[in-house]
Amino acid sequence: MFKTRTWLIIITAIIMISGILTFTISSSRLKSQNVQIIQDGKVIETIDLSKVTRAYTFTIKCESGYNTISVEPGRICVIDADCRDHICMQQGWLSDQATPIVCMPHGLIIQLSDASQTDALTQ
Amino acid sequence: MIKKMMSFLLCLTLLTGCQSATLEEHTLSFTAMNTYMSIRIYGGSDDLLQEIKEKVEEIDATVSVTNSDSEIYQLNHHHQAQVTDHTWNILSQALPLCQDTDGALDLSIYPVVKAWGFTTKKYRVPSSKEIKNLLQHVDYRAVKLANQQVTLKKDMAIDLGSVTKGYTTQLIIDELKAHHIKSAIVDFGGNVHTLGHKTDGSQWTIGVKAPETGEAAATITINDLAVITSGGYERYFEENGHIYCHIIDPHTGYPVENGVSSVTIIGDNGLRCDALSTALFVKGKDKAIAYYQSHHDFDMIIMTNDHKIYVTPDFSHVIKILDPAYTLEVISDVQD
Repeated sequence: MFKTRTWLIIITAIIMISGILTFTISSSRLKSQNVQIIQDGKVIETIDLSKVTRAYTFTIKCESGYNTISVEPGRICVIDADCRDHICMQQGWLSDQATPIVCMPHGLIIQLSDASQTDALTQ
Repeated sequence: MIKKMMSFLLCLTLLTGCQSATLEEHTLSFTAMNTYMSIRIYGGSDDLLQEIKEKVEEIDATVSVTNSDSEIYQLNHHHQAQVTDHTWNILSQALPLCQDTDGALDLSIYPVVKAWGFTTKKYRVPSSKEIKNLLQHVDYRAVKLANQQVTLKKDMAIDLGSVTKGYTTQLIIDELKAHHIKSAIVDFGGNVHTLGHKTDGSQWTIGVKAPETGEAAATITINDLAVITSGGYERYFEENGHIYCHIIDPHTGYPVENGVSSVTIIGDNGLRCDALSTALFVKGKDKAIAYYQSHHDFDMIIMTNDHKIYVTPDFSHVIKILDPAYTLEVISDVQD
């Protein structure tokens, strides 16, 4: 009887700890990990952020200029661009499915490609 | 028993196979009208999406307030213009809504919005005298329509930005219907319009964004409806610790500040949902509820700064609160 109860407590504790750990890890990073980089309506790059182990940067050029993108394990952002408003840089890390990083002057969109709980987010 | 299960699984596999073969998913994301747009359709083709993209760009070029070749630019600079169908359709649908909302929506607020710097991002707080002077030229009733010709009074200028996205999503949905598409979702910078159900027969799940977290505070499920939100948190500036949002009350000339963080309108006409989301955001919670109670032909979700979500009765059983910081209140169908 005592043994069964001990086991129950241990199992419950393990489940709770792993639950808390999973929540903590997933909330500090994007829940969805597949990111599309779109220019002028075409997907030019797809990155699975869960498979990124080392940080790197790369530059996308278009007729009107460039955007330099920083990729780290579980996150992505624009760190440099020669667009007129720099809104893409100010947006910081891609944080949710509804708000992609957008560079209007260069027609660039960085967005999550997986549907999460919702099909769209109204804002 | 095992045989039965095997045949069931086989049927299921075949059915799923058939469905995915006939209803291939096509998506297209692009930037237009100062926002991003994403269209997902089941059936149809990539070519159809390209055609739609060109249509959106055509509307953008026609009604843009800054493009010197646009009809609205010409109208604002010459106070008179012969316009084509898009401008005509938007104006003839939106002006009655300006009237119906007692000017809470006013397409001629543009000079005031400009004075606050929201069009150029060079933000400033205009003097009360400047606002008073500019408000003299704000009056949607002075926009005259006759035989595809639009005239404005001197010193007036209009901007169709508060209704164009809704008009465009509606046009896309109509275009997709004409191409026999049965399932699609259009997301125009957070203005969502759905066609039919998802391919598995279920409804579309739409999140309503919490300003604080950027994630869904609540979700609703819909089909064949537009869901359009106006919120003060999307574009604003801060000066001396005061936050000024981009939606200007046409009666005062000042940014709206009424305790409402967003108004979401759910209905079957994109332009009307777009117009009402702005107008009822301007009106504030109590007057927005009174407007609903005298119309009943749309649904609404009001989110307030004190973390309440007010929902119309038809959606009170559909809405799911995800963010525990928010509590739900159901709007009464009739006035107390």
